[in-house]
Amino acid sequence: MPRRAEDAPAGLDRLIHEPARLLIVTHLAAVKEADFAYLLRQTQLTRGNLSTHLTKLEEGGYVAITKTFEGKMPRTVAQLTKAGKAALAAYSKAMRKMLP
Amino acid sequence: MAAKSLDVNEAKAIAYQTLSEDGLVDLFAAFGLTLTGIGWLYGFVALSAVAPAAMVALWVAARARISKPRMGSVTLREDTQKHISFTLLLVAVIGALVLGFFVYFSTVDTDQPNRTLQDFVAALPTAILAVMAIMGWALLRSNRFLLYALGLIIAAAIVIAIDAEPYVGFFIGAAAPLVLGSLTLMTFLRNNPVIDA
Repeated sequence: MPRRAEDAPAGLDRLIHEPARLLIVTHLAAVKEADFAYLLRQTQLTRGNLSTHLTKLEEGGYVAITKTFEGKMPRTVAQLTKAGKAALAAYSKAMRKMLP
Repeated sequence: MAAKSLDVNEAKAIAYQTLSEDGLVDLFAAFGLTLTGIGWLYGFVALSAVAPAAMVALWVAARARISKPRMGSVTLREDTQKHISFTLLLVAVIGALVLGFFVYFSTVDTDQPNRTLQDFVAALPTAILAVMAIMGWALLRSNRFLLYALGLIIAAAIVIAIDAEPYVGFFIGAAAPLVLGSLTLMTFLRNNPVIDA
């Protein structure tokens, strides 16, 4: 398992705390699933950055990635897992506790 | 480009807006209204009955071809999908009412007495469409649909004022979504190049 909330300062989950990953997780929390192009447009990250962060979130068990083909075009779809939803809820709770 | 968001509710709204931000739904609604009006004008009941369903199918195809490569694709949450399905069912029921009025008007003798009441009835389909536009606003959260509702209410008033046939209201009501839908689509295409994902 990657770094978890208990490893992060002030009880914050470092995996989600990173701004780009928080942005990705927030967008995924609002929908059932989204493809790579949607996330690329909404987060305005570069392809490489988005891919790297998605991989980290997938390794952490927060995001499930499905790769399919539409005709000859590859399609990557991301979905927030139960662990990802729980992690976001815990992160939100921790942030609310921390901030005045 | 879309603004960054760190708020889940804002992210939900952004996902919802993908349904209407390309202007295609406005355009196909306008085409549907126009075709229904043409069907009414020439007495083609089948055209008026088929047009709405055909427009929905064409809208889905156009989105896949035009919008998806530019904005990606997203599946809304199940609770949101249920809400949409329920609203669409209501819209379908109201649509059936409009069709019922169409059938009624294609068979009724309009030279009957009690003309005043009939004048109001002639505006009723357009008024019902205004209600559908308000539901469209609630469903798509696009303020343009409130404007369309206003346009349809004005169209209904014109039908009464000039003692016109019901299809006139459809043609007048289609003008606003046709113009605004075209402008929205042009803006969308200009601001959103195809994403090489």
